[in-house]
Amino acid sequence: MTNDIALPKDYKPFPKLIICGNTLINVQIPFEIDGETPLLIGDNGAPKIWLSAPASPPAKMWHQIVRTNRSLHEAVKVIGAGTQEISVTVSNRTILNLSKRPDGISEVTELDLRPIGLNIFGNINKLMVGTNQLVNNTFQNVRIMVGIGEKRKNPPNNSIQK
Amino acid sequence: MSHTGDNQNLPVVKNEVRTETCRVDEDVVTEPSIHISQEAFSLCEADFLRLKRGAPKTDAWVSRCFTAAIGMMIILIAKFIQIMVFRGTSSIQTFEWVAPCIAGGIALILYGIGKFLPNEQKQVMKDIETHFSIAPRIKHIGKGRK
Repeated sequence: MTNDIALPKDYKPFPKLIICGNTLINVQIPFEIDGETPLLIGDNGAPKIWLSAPASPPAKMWHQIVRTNRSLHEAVKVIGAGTQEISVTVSNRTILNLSKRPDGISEVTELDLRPIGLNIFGNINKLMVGTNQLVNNTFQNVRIMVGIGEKRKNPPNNSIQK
Repeated sequence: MSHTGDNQNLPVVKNEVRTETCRVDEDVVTEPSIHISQEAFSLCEADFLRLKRGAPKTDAWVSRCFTAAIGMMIILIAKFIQIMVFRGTSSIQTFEWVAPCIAGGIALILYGIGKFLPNEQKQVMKDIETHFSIAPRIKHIGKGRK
């Protein structure tokens, strides 16, 4: 399933990216939900962002709302596109804060995808995916950091899979 | 994997180095707060190419003739100003005002022909207009329609 994910042609992942305190080294996709990629952060000199949101229940359709730093929805604003610090707001509520440091590493210090219908949020210290916390982890040489939904049929009590 | 439940018994993955995807077996899709005004038009590549290249061939000639007419008119106006304001000695020949009128007339005729000729660009534009005139408005980006 994960090999079928289509990525934008001009998407080039960061060699090192920090998302809410979790370090991604050589990771292509931060989140995957049933084959969709809600958030992509690419490195083209300045950071480039792609955002998608589920469009209809049971979330089989998705809408792209930001493409290469360009908003495709009137309520979504991309602030600082083309610079080293980018913010994305939805109806004046910040859903993403990202900065690229001089050493080339980019860091997401604030993430809140709840306004676009995804229970994924975090701050500089921890990332929440649903009810699961990811704190100070390093993901290395893996295509997807967090994969969501593939094994929904038999959810265990503790929903993070070992 | 260190699974701790130190924050309200929520599952935690902490201080790990992982070389495989972290699987979360939970539905994270919730009610969104933003609205989408209308269903987007699904533009396929073939239609995009029709929009890009399907303009009537007369359009280019309309543009050329119109530009030529404007150019000639500017020269004519300059001559007129020179005669009237600066009392210049040059005179305006008949062809100098007839020529831009002819060019403008040709542009107008070609525009009319282009307007009535069927073309692919016009058809796609009509499809888009029809879509937005009948497409239902959607309340939420994620949950159903108004």
